Amino acid sequence: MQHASWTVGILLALLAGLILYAIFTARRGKRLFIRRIPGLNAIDEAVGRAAEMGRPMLFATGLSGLDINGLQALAVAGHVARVAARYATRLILCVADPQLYAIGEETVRDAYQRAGRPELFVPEDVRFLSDQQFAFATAASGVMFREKVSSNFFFGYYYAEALILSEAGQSIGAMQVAGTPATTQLPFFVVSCDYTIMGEEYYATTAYLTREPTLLGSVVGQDWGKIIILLLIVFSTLALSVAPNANWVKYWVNLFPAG
Amino acid sequence: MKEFFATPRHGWELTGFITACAVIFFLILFVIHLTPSSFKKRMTIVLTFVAGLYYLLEFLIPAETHIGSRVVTNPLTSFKEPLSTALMITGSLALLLGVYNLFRINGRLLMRRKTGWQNGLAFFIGFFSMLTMAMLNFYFPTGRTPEEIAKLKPLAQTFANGADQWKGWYNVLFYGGFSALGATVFSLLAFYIVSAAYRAFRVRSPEAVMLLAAAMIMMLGLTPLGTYFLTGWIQPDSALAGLKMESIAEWILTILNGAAQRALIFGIAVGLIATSLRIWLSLERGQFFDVEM
Repeated sequence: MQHASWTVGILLALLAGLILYAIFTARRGKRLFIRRIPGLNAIDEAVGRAAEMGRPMLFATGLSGLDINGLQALAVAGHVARVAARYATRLILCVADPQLYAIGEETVRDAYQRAGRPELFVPEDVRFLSDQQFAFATAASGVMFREKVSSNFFFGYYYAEALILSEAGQSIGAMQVAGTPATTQLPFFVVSCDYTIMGEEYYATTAYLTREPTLLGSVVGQDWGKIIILLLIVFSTLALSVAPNANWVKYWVNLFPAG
Repeated sequence: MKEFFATPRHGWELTGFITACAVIFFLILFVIHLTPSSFKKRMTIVLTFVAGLYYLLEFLIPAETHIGSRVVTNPLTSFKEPLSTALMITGSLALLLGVYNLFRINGRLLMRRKTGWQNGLAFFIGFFSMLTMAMLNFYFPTGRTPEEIAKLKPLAQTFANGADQWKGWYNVLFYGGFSALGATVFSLLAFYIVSAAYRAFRVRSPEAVMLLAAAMIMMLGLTPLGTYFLTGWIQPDSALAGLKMESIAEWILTILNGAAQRALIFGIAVGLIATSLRIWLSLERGQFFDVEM
């Protein structure tokens, strides 16, 4: 879709309005509930495992570029780095985009500083491997084998290299936590990782980890938006089932073009 | 203004244009560097908002609007392509950062003879050989006539006469080396899928049993073992056609799996909108910047 139709515009405004309302409500002090996400609880467990074994951890952002998915992955990397600093554990961040490398280095350095352990930050542990898919997968696998990592974190947008990375981690017995919005790679992560964060949970990660009101409000606003979409789906399904040839149903369906 | 930047330039005009752009760029960087930290952060917020607002308005405003007898086109669309090009160029500059990082890590590995220093040596050999052959192949392509080669400077003529060799070596390195290695790593997926499936398809829990059953039906539905030997006796136009193995497999893929995929996509789309909104309005504080803004 090159340009929005008026229905898409209204829907976008409605969703944005709900999300902003929820954010400002949360900022005013309203307590919000977010359900437990086992994969995110496992982050502390994975870092603790690395600390006990005295081995480093690997965080790979997949083929994410400087976009929402890449920035979200770095936000999680920052949290993992803070926990790693607390346990004095080494974190190796591997990225496939040079712009993400620059931001990633600052994110990890800042995380170590905020944890009060700036001396533990090693610039060489933030690595741009390659922007080519299988070169990145091979290089990251090589890092896993050579460094003998104990825990792997795969957060970002992945393509075919997802299974290569996760199986390489499986072969060395690493604990693996993955999170991706790529629906095509979720099955591979589910079968080869210990915990997988799917779909919208990926965008709720920072809210869950930091419990910041703005982020929690955003997650609640998302849920309200999904309820609106669900009601639209139910209404449309009933309308098309009961009166598929009615003029108003045809008009309603044409309001939401496919592309 | 678009024509000013889009007009092709040659010779000294091009050199002067690039030099002037570089000087202005460094001047702006210098001025920004002198400003206090709070100003830099506010400027980041304003620039982020303006940039996001452009793309949002460009998407929301229709391509063409009819006002009376006039047709008004979206005024923002004409800037989209030059902006995308500018973003690509800015992004490609960041590639130098990546190369610097690779050089630093592999260089230290090689100079300090740490464990695995051979990998650093392999990196440098691969990097410089590919760079050399690619540049020679690009600047001295095959197909030049002897008259065209004679017009070049003497040193360039020497390289131009070896065009076939550069192309040959480039093909060896790129198609014979890089592409072949990529295909090799890709082919590992077949074996990794088998090993992952072996671990995953075990009867440990109700969900695992459902996964195993669905996987078995899918495999049977896609192979002659299921389609011919098991349900091949069912006629395609009979009442039992829906029970053919390939029909059940297709139903699982398109109806069950399709519904789940769409549900995931809805959630992802709404999550994407929320995260984009937070970053656009700079509400995503404390994630990539200092907490105080």
